[in-house]
Amino acid sequence: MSTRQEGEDHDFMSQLLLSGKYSDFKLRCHGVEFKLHKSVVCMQSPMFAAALDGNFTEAASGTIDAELFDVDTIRRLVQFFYIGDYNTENPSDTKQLIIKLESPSEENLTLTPAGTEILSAISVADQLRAHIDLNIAADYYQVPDLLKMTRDEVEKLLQHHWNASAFPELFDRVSSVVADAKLQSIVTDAAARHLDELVQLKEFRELDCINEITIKLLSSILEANKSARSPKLKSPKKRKSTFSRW
Amino acid sequence: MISGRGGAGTRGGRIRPPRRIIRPNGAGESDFDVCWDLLREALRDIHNKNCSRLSFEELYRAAYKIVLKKRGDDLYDRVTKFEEEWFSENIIPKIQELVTTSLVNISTDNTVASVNERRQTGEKFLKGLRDTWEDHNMSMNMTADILMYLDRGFAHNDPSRASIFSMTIALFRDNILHSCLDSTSGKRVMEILISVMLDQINMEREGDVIDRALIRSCTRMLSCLYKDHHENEAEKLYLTSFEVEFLANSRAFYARECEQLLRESDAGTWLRHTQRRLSEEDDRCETTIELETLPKVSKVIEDELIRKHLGEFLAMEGSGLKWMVDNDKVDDMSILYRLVSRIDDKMMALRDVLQKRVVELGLEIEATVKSTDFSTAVPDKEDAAEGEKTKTLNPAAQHTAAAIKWVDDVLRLKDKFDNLWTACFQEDLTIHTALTKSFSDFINMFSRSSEYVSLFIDDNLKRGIRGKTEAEVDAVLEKAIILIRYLQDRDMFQTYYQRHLARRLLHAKSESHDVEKQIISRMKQEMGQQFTTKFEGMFRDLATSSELTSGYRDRMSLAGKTIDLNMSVLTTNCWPPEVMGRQVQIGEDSRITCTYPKEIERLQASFEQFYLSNRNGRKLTWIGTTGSADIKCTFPAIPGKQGALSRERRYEINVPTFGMVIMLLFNDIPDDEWLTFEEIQAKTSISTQDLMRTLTAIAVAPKSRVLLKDPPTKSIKPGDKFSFNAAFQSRTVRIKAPIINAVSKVEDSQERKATEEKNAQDRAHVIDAAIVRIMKSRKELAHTQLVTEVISQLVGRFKPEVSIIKKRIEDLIVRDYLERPEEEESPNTYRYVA
Repeated sequence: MSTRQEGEDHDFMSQLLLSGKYSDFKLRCHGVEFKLHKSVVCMQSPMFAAALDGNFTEAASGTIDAELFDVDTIRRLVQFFYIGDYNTENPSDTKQLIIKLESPSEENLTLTPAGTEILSAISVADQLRAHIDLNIAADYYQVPDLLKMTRDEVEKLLQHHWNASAFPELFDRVSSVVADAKLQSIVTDAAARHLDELVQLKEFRELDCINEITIKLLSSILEANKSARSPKLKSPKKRKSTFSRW
Repeated sequence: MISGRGGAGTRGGRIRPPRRIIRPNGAGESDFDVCWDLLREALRDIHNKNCSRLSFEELYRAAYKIVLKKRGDDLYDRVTKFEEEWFSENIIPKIQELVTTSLVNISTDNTVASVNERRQTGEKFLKGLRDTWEDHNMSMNMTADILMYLDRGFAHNDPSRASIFSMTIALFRDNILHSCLDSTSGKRVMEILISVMLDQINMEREGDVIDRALIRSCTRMLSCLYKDHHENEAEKLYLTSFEVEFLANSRAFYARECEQLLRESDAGTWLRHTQRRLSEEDDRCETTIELETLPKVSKVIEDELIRKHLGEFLAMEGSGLKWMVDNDKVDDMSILYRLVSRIDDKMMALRDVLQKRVVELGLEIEATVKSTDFSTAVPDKEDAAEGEKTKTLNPAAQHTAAAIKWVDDVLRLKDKFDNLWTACFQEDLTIHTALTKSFSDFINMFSRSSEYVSLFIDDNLKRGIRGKTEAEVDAVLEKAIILIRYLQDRDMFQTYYQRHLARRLLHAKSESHDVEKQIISRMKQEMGQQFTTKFEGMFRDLATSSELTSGYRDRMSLAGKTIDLNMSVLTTNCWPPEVMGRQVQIGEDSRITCTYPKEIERLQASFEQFYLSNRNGRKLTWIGTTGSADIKCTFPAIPGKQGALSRERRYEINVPTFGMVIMLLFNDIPDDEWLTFEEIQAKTSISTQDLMRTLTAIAVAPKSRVLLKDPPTKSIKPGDKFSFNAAFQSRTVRIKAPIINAVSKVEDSQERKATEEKNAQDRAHVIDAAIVRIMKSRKELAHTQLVTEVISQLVGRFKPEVSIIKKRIEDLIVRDYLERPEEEESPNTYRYVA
């Protein structure tokens, strides 16, 4: 993921985060406190800037609550603020999280060549969930770079590690709590590609946002597409003649 | 990206319970109301400055939830409504109180109240408005902060809708500034605000002290508000409402002020006042209103205080530009330059007056020189040395004095304007060009400028540079070059310089050959190779001549003879025709003819033989007019006389060559015999003019009167008789007869005419050559083009008149160098005839 040079660049940022030295505000999430730096965080998030610059309690106490999200998501957000990247593992403390990022697991690299490994359905679902949660947080705290990164990750996962059984939960969350319209497009695009598989899936059919008539509509569309695809062999000729007439 | 691989998968498929974030969905309508209630209370607290207990995160989350529920529009509308109500209930009444009758009066008629009253009323109003604005601005900033997610939500859906901040901040414009709170006058608050601000600014212009920071807060407010919700930078209220009024007000103010200055003050006051006003406005834009107004208000001052009446101020009698120039008002002119450069980078107005003044002063110099009587000038040392006993200077010396005065005055004028140029005009190039042109103009208007410049150099090289340091000499040279640069008729100057240089060289009058060479090399740099060829040739001739002289002397001493002969072998073309005897004047024989005595002829033959021995084919012509001879004379003791006359006296007399020829005649006749002028002329065949001059030197000049003259008058006339002056005596052994030269230092009008005629002739040849050169290369050319080309080719030498060029063309056609083509379509074309 990163060359040695980049790792060194991030070194002092990691130290800042790990030691909490010179910290000038705290982010509190379900009992966990992150000692952070305004200069690092506020430059990337106008929401934090507004909270800490204004005349509200946060400015006076130097503490911001982040109860809307779980600790892992906030941890990744913080990780992103300091080193511009995050991982989807769920280590028990911040320190471990940073170290993991610093030295990519060589074990994995040698065992499974990049891109070709096959992830289990559970793993894919976990990762998707983590990315989606972070996407929501990035939207909430208004961190555009992180928004983009989470989108890219979701798109990559959906393309290379398609797993129908992990999808319905994702789809449900995107339809209800994700405000990022671009992420929504990515997910619906993926759903459209695998529509025939999905309409058969019980978990998909039983989603809150999908009702019986929706399934019927989708099935009809699939049928229509199939019949449109079979005479497709003829179509190139037709098109050619149309062009030549012009 | 590390998160894409490994991770959970490698941990052996540990299944974790799905962790869900707290879902904001659920109960629909009531959820919205809960959130809105929370936000509304917060807005109220914000307005009441009671927000320190509010949690930003909580409020932000409330707005987030509403947007996520797709109820952003409702929130937006409710906030708008809330703010509007807040205005009408809490703010407008406060402003209403401020708008008093006396305040409204300020904007309609500012003579009602005293200045002090007006200022206090105005300040009270401005302060009230500012405080309201600042409260509102702060509240809206906080509101916008907590509703930040709302703006984000809208950015996706409806880009035409204004952000929550710009919407709420604009409420101030709509509810306060654009509202009419005074029913009697019908004025809007904005109008009152602007007129109060302008009133305050005008008070400051009149010298009062005002609260600048207060005004600035108001302009800042207007800069934060826009004409409409598009928030176009060019449509800030500051620009659309305040600035327009401010500029109009300033224009009226300064127009009035300028009229007053024109009526009551002089140009100096006007300059300083305008300068002060400019810096005041500068300061005002810096501290009281917005900096972006500076260029515009500066332009108003430029228009009203500078441009409109510039001409009138410059022309002011006794304080205008002419007066400043004459009295060296450096400060005034520096200010003037800076002011004028603001409105016109070509400096037209300034330039015209300066040019006119330069020419006026230049012509004054000419007039002074012409009207001054130089005859009573301080007696010239040189003249005394030459034996002139007259207290009054001879015409030549008078001319020299006049020339030097003219040149000195011109240089002084030039120095003066150079100083002004550096000190006041920031070495502005256009002004420099203009001044140079004016100098050139008046110098060339003066017909004797070429001669005077050459005389100035002549005088300096003869004695002016004596005892001067190298730097001083250099300064003189520089001055000379400056003057030459101005001359248009460089060929005329060339002629004079050649003549003066020849005199200096042949009569060994030059103070320093080094300096001579320096000045020539400078001329070469300025005017080009061609200009100085002849001068350089003259120096070369002298160098070869001295070699020849020593060579001849060596040769003769080998032959056992000691001959003291100094030769100057001159190349005909390099030396002035007068010296070379080429100028044939009316009624005169060729001036080089002379019958030399036998012994001299032998000497000539001997030298010619030596000279031609290795220079075959050359022809030597002997010119007696410029040489001189040392003669050892023995005057016998006169019996019966006392003192010196009783002894035999030996003198060594230096006389002109012709003088020697004449004196030798008297060796052959008895002491008391007389020769008439005609007899002398018959024996020597010296031309009448030269003979008269020579006889003046040896029969009239008091210190070298070796011949007696009858009648003993001071001038030589044909018919006079001469005899040996046996009673001649002198205190010194070596005597130098004065050189009464054919080439006078300064020309009289007749000579001048001759010079001009000759010059015209030369020019005709030069023009001919130029025309032929051009036509040879172009073959065919239209008349106007030909004329332009000729002028451009000759510009370095002189400025030919078009009529003369035309005449030369006609002449060349007659001589078959050019022809007019037969074709009808080109009537004004010439063709070169090979």
